[in-house]
Amino acid sequence: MESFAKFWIEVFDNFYKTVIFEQRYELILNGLKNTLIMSIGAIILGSLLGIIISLIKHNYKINGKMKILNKICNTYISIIRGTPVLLQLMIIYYIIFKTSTINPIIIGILAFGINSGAYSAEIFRSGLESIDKGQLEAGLSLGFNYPKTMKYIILPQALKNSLPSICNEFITLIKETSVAGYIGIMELTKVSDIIASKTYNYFFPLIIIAVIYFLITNLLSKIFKKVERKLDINDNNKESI
Amino acid sequence: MITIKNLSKSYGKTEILKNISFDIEKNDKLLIIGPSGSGKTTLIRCLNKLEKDYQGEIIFKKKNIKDIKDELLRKKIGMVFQSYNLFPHLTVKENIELAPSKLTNANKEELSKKTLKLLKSVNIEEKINEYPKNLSGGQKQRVAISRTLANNPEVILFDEPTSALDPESIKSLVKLLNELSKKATIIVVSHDMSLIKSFASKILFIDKGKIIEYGTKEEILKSTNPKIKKFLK
Ligand SMILES: Nc1ncnc2c1ncn2[C@@H]1O[C@H](COP(=O)(O)OP(=O)(O)O)[C@@H](O)[C@H]1O
Ligand SMILES: [Mg+2]
Repeated sequence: MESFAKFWIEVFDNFYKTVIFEQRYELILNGLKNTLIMSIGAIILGSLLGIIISLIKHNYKINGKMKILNKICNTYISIIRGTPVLLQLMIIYYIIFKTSTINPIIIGILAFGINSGAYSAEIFRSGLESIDKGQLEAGLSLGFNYPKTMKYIILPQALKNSLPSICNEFITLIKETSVAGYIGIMELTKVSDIIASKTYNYFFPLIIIAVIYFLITNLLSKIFKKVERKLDINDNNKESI
Repeated sequence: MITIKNLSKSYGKTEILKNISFDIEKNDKLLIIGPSGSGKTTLIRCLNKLEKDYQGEIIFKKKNIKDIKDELLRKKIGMVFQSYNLFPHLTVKENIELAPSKLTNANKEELSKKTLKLLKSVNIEEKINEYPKNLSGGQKQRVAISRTLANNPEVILFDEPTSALDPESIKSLVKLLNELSKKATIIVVSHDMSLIKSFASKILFIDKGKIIEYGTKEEILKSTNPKIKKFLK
């Protein structure tokens, strides 16, 4: 009985030191804020890059246009995918923005967005390629030009098909922002490290931060599942038409 | 209305269409018939500019189609695909109204009225809000036809329209084709012999990319060409 009480007192004590003492929850909330800002910014930038690149590649494949841009995109994708994201982040921080006083969070958004753009581009490319060629021809034969056919017919279907993979990519990205502490950004993982160095106890800060990451990514994948299900009630373009 | 002059088309090194020339008159009911692989689909894809890399000329209303904008030509020469290619993410109504709503300035009410009229004429007005996956093959085809008709084309190309239909649906399709021919020039590609009697006013026999015979129904039925006689048996 006595040891049981002792255990709970210790748990509470640790929790107090990790979260409440010296307003450490403010540190955690600030870390959460920075992680979210960086993730959301990078998701937006990465998705935009991904969609644009996938459209350039599709245009090249179907119409033979934008040959040079297509080549640039391919180079970008292979370089980004072939090097670690932490290295990309450090290159942008220490080399490209060496002399400027830009907010490190912006650098985080740029680095993770540019990184995610390469993976998103591949996801959207395969989404576009999953649409039967007959859809494009049907659009053209009705008098739509190529861009309008993409806009009204191909993209809506391709984006829907890309949802599961793009959700995975977003989750990967959120977790990868945990290396941003290397360039001094106070994101969640960095915060856990700082708190641990003050309490001399790693267990609680790490577990608490892990739970926060898990809740974010879990919520995201639940939202995506819901959207997918909603779209599936209406149509199912995996079936051949 | 359409003149095809010395049309040849190759995929790589294989010549698919070999020096094809013929005329199509306004309001013809042209049946292009021939064994599978003879180049029928390729021929009508050239008419719709889905294939552009060919030798020879295709003249539509006195103009080389190469000099007509793709989008304009395709609205005038519509196509109903063999696999229909309905848009799975759109309802029947949306499938039909997509092109006119985005490409013309017709208002919503007019479009709705027209869609209903089109669907009534093909007898599936009750499916107006369905998605394509909930339609039978014959119903999908009638939606595809309505979608093409929504552009008011002057020529309509049909690729193998009877291939996926049961005999009952073939009968109503033929009736519909004959109906449509009052307003537009109909070109049907098929290997279905029964269409010679039930539909065609003119027939083009094609085999291995070459024209074997071209003429009115009466001429073809009287033909002494041994290949055609063999075909007609
Ligand atoms: N995109 C293509 N690339 C290469 N060969 C093709 C292509 N499309 C059709 N063919 C070939 O051209 C020939 C004629 O095809 P097609 O016009 O579809 O014939 P049909 O409609 O009379 O059955 C076939 O031998 C087919 O394999
Ligand atoms: Mg064919």
